[in-house]
Parts: sequence; C-alpha cells; structure tokens
Amino acid sequence: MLKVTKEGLYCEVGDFHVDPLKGVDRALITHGHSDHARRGSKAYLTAEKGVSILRTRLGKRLPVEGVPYGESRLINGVKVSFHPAGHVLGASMIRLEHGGEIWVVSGDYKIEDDGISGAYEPVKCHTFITESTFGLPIYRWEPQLVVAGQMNRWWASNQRQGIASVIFAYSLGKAQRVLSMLDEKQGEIFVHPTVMKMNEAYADAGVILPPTTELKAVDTFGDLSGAVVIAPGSVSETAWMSAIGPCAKASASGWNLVRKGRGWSNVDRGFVVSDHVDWPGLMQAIEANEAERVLVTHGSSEIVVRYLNEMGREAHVLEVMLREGGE
Amino acid sequence: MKRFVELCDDLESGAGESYQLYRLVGYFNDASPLDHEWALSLLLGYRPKRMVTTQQLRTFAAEELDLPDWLTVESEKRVGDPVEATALMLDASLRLPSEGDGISLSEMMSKMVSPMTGAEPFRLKEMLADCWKRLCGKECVLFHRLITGRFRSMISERVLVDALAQWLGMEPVIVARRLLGGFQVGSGDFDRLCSKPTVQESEMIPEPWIIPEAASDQQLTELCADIWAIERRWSAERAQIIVGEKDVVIWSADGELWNSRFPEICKQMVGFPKGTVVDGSIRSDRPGAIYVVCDLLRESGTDFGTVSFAERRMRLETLMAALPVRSEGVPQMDLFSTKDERIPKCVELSELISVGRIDKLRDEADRIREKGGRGILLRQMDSTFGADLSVVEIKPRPFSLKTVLLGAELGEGPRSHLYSRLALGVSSRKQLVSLTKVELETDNEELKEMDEWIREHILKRLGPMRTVKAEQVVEIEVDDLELSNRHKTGVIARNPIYGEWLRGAGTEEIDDVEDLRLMAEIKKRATPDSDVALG
Repeated sequence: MLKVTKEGLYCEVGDFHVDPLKGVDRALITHGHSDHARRGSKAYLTAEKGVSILRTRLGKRLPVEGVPYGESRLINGVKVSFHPAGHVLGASMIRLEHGGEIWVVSGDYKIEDDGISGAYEPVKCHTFITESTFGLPIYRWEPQLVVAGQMNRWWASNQRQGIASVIFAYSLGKAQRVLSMLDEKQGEIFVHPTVMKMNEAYADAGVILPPTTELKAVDTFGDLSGAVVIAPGSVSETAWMSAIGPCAKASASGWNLVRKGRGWSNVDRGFVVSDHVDWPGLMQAIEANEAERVLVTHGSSEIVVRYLNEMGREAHVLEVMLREGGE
Repeated sequence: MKRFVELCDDLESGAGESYQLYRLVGYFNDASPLDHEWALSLLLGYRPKRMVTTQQLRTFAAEELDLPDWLTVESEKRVGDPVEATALMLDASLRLPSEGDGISLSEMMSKMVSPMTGAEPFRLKEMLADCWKRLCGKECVLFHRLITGRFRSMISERVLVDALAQWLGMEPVIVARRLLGGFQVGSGDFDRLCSKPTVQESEMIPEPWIIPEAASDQQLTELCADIWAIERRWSAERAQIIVGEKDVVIWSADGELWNSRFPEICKQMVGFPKGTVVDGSIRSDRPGAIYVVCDLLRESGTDFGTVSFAERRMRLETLMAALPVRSEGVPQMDLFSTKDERIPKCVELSELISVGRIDKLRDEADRIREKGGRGILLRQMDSTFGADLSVVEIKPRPFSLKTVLLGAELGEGPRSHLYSRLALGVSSRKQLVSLTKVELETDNEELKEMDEWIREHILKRLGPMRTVKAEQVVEIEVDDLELSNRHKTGVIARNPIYGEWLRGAGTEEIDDVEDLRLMAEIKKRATPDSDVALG
C-alpha cells in the first residue's frame, strides 16, 4: 500500500504521502519534529492535538486539518485514522486500510504514558512500519517516576550549593516532559524563549504544565541561584548561557543511558529521558499489533530485522532516505 | 547502594575537586554506617580478585536473557564496554519495585561478591542469576566491575582524605597517617580511623608551613644584610620531618605522607632525638633524594615557636653534627629491626651564604635560575617562628612571554560560567603549539570582554576546551622555563601568570618555541652545585 519514493513514503491508491521529505500535494504528518514535519506541502492532515504544534513550527497559516484520535477519513478510497503514539503531544501512529489490507506507520512512539503526550494504544494491522532508534536490548527505560526523583534530588543538591540548575532538552516534547517531571513546589522554573513557544502550543491543546518564566535575551537574568532553567542544547555555548551565572548542567536524553553517550557532552549529569520506544517496548508493540510483516526504519533497523527473522517473523529494513538528527 | 552508585557516577563525571569533596562529605553524612567501611575501602582502591571473566559474563547473560550471542555482541559495540552492556541488558529495575535504597553496599559485598571467590562455573551461573534478580541498572554495572576485576577508584587519595577529615572533624594529616598503614574491611581499621586522635598522634602533626613572602625591589633596598641568614633556593619539594617515639614521618606541604617515597631519609632521621620536628626540602635536581634541613621547629619535645632563628639554627647545627652519618655510608639501625645496614648520606644542613649588598640579590637570583635554582631565601636572624617577614623570598625576574590565545575552558566557582581558563600557544616553525594555561581572575575587567570574544569566535569543541581563532596576543609572566620531553613544546613554563591582553598586536609578535628551548637549555648545561659568584 505504501512505497518509498524520493519524496518519502507514498500511498499510490490514496495519492498522499506520510511524513514527506519534500513539499507534496497532500501530507499526513505523524508528529511535529523537524525530521517528520516539513514545510512546503499544499495540504496537511494530522491528529487534532498536534495542530497547534504544527502551526507553531511551520507557520500560523499552515493549511492543516486535525482529525480526532480514532476517527476515520476516506482519502481516495483509503480509510485513514490517527492513533495516539505517546511520543510527544499530538504524535500518532497512522492506520491505513484498503481492500481488507491494514498498514500502520508508527512515526516515533513510546509505550509508557508520560501524562502529557497521550497514551500509546496498540493498533492491529497486517504490515507495521516501526522506528528502531533504540533497537538494542541494552535500551530499557526506568519508569518516569524514578527519573523524576533523580532529577528533583539533583536540583535540590544544587540548591544547597546555591547555584542554578540548567537542563538541556529539545524544545518540543522533551522540554515539556522534563517540566512535568519537576516538582514545582521545590523552586522557580525558567525556560528559554523557544521552549516557551512550545509550552504555549501545549497549553493551546489543553495540557496543563507547571508555571514557568521566560528568560529573554538580555545582559543578565538576575539571581537564578536555586532555580531550574530548561533550554535547548543549542544554547550551551552562547552568551544567553553565560548570563545565567554559576550553574550545574544536565541533559535529558535516551542516549544518556550509555556512558559513551554522555562522555563529551560537557554536562555534569545525564538523565535518561527518552520519548522513543525501548527494546522491551518495541517487542511488546510488535507482539500486540499482530502484524504479519514488520518494516523497520530509523535506527538499528538491520539488527532488529535480523532478530525478528530469527524469531520467525517476517521483517525487512525500510530505507526512507537519511533522516538527520537523533531523537 | 543507590547512593554509592550515584556517588561514583558523580565522581566520574569530570567535575572539579571541590565538587568531588562536596559529594563525598555528603555521601558519608547520608550513607548507612554499615556502608561507610566498604565505600571507603573501594574508593581507596581495593579491588576484589577477578571471579568471572568477561566471556563468562557474556555467555551467562545471553543464556539468562534468551538472546542470541550476536545480539549481545552488537550491544557491546554500541556501549563500548562489555561489562556495562550486559548490566544494561539485565537491568532488573523493570522487574523490581524500585523503592527505598534496595540492597545495601555492604550486603552486596558480603552476600554477592565475596561468596563468588573460587566458585565452580556451574555454581557461578546460578549465583549470578540470583544476583541479577536483585540489582537495578547502575548497581549491576558496579557489581559487574567488581566481580570482573574492572573496578577503579575515580578519585585521588588526597581528595578522599580531605573529605574524611571534614566529615570526621579531624586534621587531614591525622586521617592521612591513619590510612598509611592500609585499610581493611572488618579489621577494626575503620573504628581506628574514626576514633578520637591521641596525644601521641597530635604530636605527629606537622607545624604550620611558613610561606616565604616575596620581596619587591623596593623592599630589597630597605633590608639590611647582616640580620639575615641567606640561602640559595634549589628546585626542591618542601617537607617537614617528625621524629616520634616509635617512628619517623615525612609530610609534604600538601599533607601527603612521603615515608614510602623516601625510606632512606626516614632511616637516617632516626638519629635525631625523639620529639624533634625539622623543616626543609627534598631536592629533586640531583640523583638520589637529599633532604636539606633548614629550620628546627621542635627538639626533644620542646617547642621552639618563641625562639629566634639564630638560636634555632645553632641548635640545628649541633644536632646535625651529632647525626652519625658519613658520606661513604654509615652503619645504621633499621627502623624497626636491628639489621645492620649501610646507607648513603641523604640528610644535609642548608648552606648559608654571605653577601655584601642585599639589593644585588635580584641579580643573584637570576643567576641561580640559570643554574637550575629557584631564587634566594632570607631568614631573619632574630625573628621567631612564623613572625611577619621571618622568611623572605627573592624570586628571579619573571620572563615575559608573548603568546597567542588558542582556546579556553570554563573556570571554577564564581567563574564557572565564564571562559576564564585560557590555553595559550607560541609559534614553532610557522605553526602554533600550545604552551600553557593561565587563569584570569574575576576582578579582571578584561575577563568579561575576553569571555565575549571567545564565545563569538569558537571554532571547535574538544571536551571542555573551546578552540578559537588564533589571533589574540596575550602577554604572560613565568617564573622559569624548564626542558621537558613530556610536552609538545619541549619546555614547561613555571607558574604562568596572566599579564595583559595585547589588543591589536599581530600574531607575528608572539614568541618562538626555539627561543624558549634555548633559554631552558642554557640552564640544563649548568650544574646546580657549581659555585655561584656573589656580587
């Protein structure tokens, strides 16, 4: 039902693309991260909860239509529906049905319900296209509650030293998740302007996050000792960063699980917070949607395919062109 | 055990020593007393014998998890460390309620690690499977390191000593000395470490270290030659030696015990009366270690704090004359046995020199540097120990070098958000080589401007170092230049201090490494003991 073209995944019967790499006539978008949602298409269709994020990222007047989770649309005879993927707010698995054949495109997904991204639901299908960013048995996430505890203890320890705590996180998704994990009673929370923009998009979609103050680019932010600051990693070398004053730095990413991943990152602490499915989750998802065929993309696809084949399941690597960026 | 695992993680993260100290004290405050002993033992470098090979671990884990071997190998490739990879795969945190501190460190050591010693392979697998059910994430990494003999302590003993001292409310030197005899879990060593210092121990603590005050040229003209004892200062490391009732200890100025580094000096010092403390330095510029005694701080238990230097020196000369040493070797009692042994002379009295005009001493200091020395020391004859201006140092005139800014790192403490640690280089055959690092002080107006300039011109990141475009010239002052084959440039710059940011200066003005090497080489050829003419 889907094939790979130079524009990305294409459904010939329905004449639409899923997460196209270039501008196309009709684009179905799994979620708002820049390696999935790109500018230049004439019409966008995404889950209703993801509309505000797409508009924030791709433009206020983006021709985008939202569909509630689980509700079907017919596009040239193909039945299309969006189902919660638990990755970031509005992220979906896209289900396509035509002539009794069902495909599911996972986009990026995560099994654990983090409380703000929507709870992942398995969708039964014949062919399952799954990501494999963390497709190795070493990747197994601890429950969010445990990581939240580590984070708040680290913050408290910095407070005792009278310094600020800076957490680097992607502005869409990760930053809001970190925010939701922090104990707002513990102190003040500040955010970088790009994070603030995304927080507002979350608020538009009805997600309640702890109150934050925006740190605009000025010479000095005043005394931030004891406070927490959430910022995208790209600011770590800028004057904005030096205006924060004495601080301890941490990053929040799934890559932090492995020591090598933290090595040269120049932060004091690496929290393991991932919005992607881990190894047990990946196996669980494949089991749950009862797919006869699994197409694996984005990450350790060859390893996952080999393992699934050895387990007696039909699986292939799906190359959808290089996507830059990790998480 | 979660606390210990978090501690190790933090200590490893590459943070500065002050943070390590803070974390260690925090750990000892929070951890259960049962864990203190094991934590300390591991941090001191205790490593259990290897009980499981990496291959065994890999195979057992793959069987336990029902994963194909190739998949564990792929995982190891990603992690870069087989022990960590297997631990991550086995992480029990998803199977266990992860509340509380879980299994304690001492429990793991005594119930999991120790019983594995000498276990048969088939038993080993059973034991491992049992342990894996109870260990979460990084606990398992630590456990694997311990049983495969791969655990390494991540801190220096000095930081650990300081942390223990702070935690126990004791002098660091007492802690250091108590640890000197080794540390074993379950032997009572820990209780001895924590017990109140005895009078005898307090007597083995070094006296305060008198730091010479640097004399300015102006001060030099005001000093009168005849009230000073004058000595040359060679390249040497400061040390106090205490002769106690039962033993002799050598303390470095950093609070390290050097007994094991210089056993022959210890042996010779036994000849001094018990209850004697001397100050001096161990010369490193001659073959064999020589301890040069320069002051007497206590003799046979009598404190000399209020006695003038002239008298202390006289007493010292008498003591030295009575010391039964001859340069060709002397019969000497072994410290604790009665074995007869001949050891070469390795304790000397510092040589005093006479000088006509004290204001010429700066030139003299320069000349001594050429011979490989560090300058001149003056001790006021009628001054009591530690009084103001009792010891004065005359440094050679610093060399001023023009260097180019190659990169910078963030500083520490109040400068932790500013690029205040500058990496500087000099030219070498039309290329640039890095020479040294200097620290900019906080009250320096230029610091903020420099920080801004650096942030705008970062080219590359290399760990904490940010490489910048090499175009800013910085003048620095160094006490000395010495040859070294461990440095890219072939020279070490001693005590570099930030001088000035020469804005607008071109990189063609910076010094060339060949010139620096030449300066250092001149000294190498001079022998330290050849006579230095006095003006």
